[in-house]
Amino acid sequence: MKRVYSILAFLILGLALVAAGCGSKKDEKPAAAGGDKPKEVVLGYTGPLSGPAAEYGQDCFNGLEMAVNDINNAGGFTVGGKKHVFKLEKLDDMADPTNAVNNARRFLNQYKSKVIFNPVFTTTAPMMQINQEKGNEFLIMAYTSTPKAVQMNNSLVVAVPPPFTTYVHALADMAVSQGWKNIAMVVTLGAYGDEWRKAFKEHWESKGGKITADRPANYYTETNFSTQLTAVLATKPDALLIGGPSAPTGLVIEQARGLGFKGGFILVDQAKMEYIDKVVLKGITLMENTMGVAATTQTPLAGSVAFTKKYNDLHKKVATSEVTLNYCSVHALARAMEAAGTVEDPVAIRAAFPKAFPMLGDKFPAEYFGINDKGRMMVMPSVQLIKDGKYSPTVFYAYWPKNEEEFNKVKTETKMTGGTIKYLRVTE
Amino acid sequence: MDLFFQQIFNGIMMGSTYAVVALGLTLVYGILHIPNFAHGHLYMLGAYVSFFAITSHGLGFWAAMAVSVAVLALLGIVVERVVYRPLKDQPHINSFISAIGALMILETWVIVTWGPQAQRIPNPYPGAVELLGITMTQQRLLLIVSAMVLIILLQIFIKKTTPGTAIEAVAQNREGAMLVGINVDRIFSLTFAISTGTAAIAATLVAPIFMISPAMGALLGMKAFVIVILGGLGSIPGAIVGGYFLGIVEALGGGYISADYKDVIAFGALLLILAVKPNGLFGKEVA
Repeated sequence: MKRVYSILAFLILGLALVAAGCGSKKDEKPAAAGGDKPKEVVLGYTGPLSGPAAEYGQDCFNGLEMAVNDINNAGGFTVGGKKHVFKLEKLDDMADPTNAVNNARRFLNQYKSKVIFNPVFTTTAPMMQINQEKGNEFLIMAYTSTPKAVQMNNSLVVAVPPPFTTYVHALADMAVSQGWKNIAMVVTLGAYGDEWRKAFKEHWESKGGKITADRPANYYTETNFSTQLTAVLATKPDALLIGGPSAPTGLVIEQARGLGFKGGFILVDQAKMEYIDKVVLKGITLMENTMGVAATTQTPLAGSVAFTKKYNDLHKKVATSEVTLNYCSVHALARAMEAAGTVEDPVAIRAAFPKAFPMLGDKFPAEYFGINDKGRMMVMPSVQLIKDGKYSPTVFYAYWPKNEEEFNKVKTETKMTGGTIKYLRVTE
Repeated sequence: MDLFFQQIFNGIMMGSTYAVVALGLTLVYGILHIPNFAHGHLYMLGAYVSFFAITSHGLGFWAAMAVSVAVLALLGIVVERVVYRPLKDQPHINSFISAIGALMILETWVIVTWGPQAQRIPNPYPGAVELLGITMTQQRLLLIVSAMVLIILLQIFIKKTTPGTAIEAVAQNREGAMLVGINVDRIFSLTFAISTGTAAIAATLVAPIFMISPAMGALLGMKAFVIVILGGLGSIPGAIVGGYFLGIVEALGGGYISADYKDVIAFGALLLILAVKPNGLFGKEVA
């Protein structure tokens, strides 16, 4: 009797496997013309998929996944006269450098990936130690605004978001206009947070402001920030510079208000106001006088409006700029691969990146105008302020133009239908 | 001075959670002589049961807590029966391994069911209160008061009721307790139920203040062990004093020195105390 059961179990298992096989075949779209099966290009993603930063890591992944699906459903992309499609594999690194490097090696050896996406600078940095090894080269698509990512003379890195120094300048300008002078900092620990604090302190003090206290906290492992907040609030600041992943940043706001703080908040660019508003705090009552990266749902671009709606329908979640910019990065990669005529050679793909642009707001949820020599893709940072219970209109900053003439070119190229564009030259 | 008291308050708040969780752990150790490594994870599950009751079934905060306590008490009994009882007469290493298996199952199960990302329980009492120059939220105050009430009730239960004294009897001498007719197996179950039930209360109280995540149990479980060793294995007053002590040391160390060194300070204090008093603050001398 026992034997019959085990045979039956095997049969069911076999059937299930066959059924699964059929199921996955159905998803594959036939190649447009040739009739050949399109060639699969495996992209790797390593990021925090568990722990306090899991949501951030998952959002980044969702953006990439949506782009991969959109590209594949449209028939893929053509390299050397042959259709190609992407396959996206993910591995969890819990934002830990050692895990990230191990994952990268796994992608290289097991999945034969030539392109690896990563959204945390603390984990990107050690990957940059190994991505130029002869014979084992791979391209890192780094979702990091840390300037160091493009200052380390690594020719196989593409940085996707704007450098945070642009946000430092933009937010400092906005903070001055609010009349703030004394600012205390409770920013996330780690390479990214350290760079942010340093850059903000320098810039703020050069503008005549004062940093009253600096107590970093580990946003990736802590949920109780009362200790640091109590210490910095004792210095009576006008505003707090805070931030790391959005969810714990929301907690910091709530806990600071719980300690009686009535001033403003400046969010580092990793934290997203609209996510904190809609998901963490369920409303902006606690967020009065908060400034940070502008809400993507309010971006005045046709491509963005369509995208954020589609994303919300699919994931029942807010599409933050992690989602939209990562989405664009896959499209840029596909275009670069087409221009390079190879999907195998990371050096040639990186060299062909300039030909992928411009990517404008009529088709894409964000606008990319090019890539600089160091590997930073050029997109305008945008900021907003919550005042009197409302989001202020979005302000965009073109940071790369060398002169007014180049700035005017950006202004004519853009498909933006509202908001303001300002010229603010910042070099990395 | 306000700053100092505010930090003390922060410390007492975290200490309340630590004390309640460590109390459950020390009870189990006192009775079964096994360190329940899965305790932190059962605490985590308590938070998730409340989260589930509130978000999916629209239960109120207190009703959700009651559900969570009931579920966790039951689960505690099951864990004791399935994980620990069969290994009662085996070497201790066997229960260690069994416990590690249990905690991995619990964590993975929560990840599969609710996802790896952090979740929030809506704060039932978000208002702020100001007391003697210290600002605090109602929920934090509630946590502190509830933890104290819980600790006092537990003391009364153990000292004044028949099942409570039976627990103490088993802790003092298992054979002796059997000789006077105490059903030791039933006491094991009861102790586990109390231990996991109180962990569920602590988890539910603290959840609206912070976030809940599958990883929240691991660190707290480890800290609870530190506290229990600090206070003396199996000692109830030791767990209470140790819990508040660790909370306050963390808050003061984090506030006045550096948050980076919070854990260094807390664990450093542990090493120091154990060096001076190897049996812990309230530990019995081993003859």
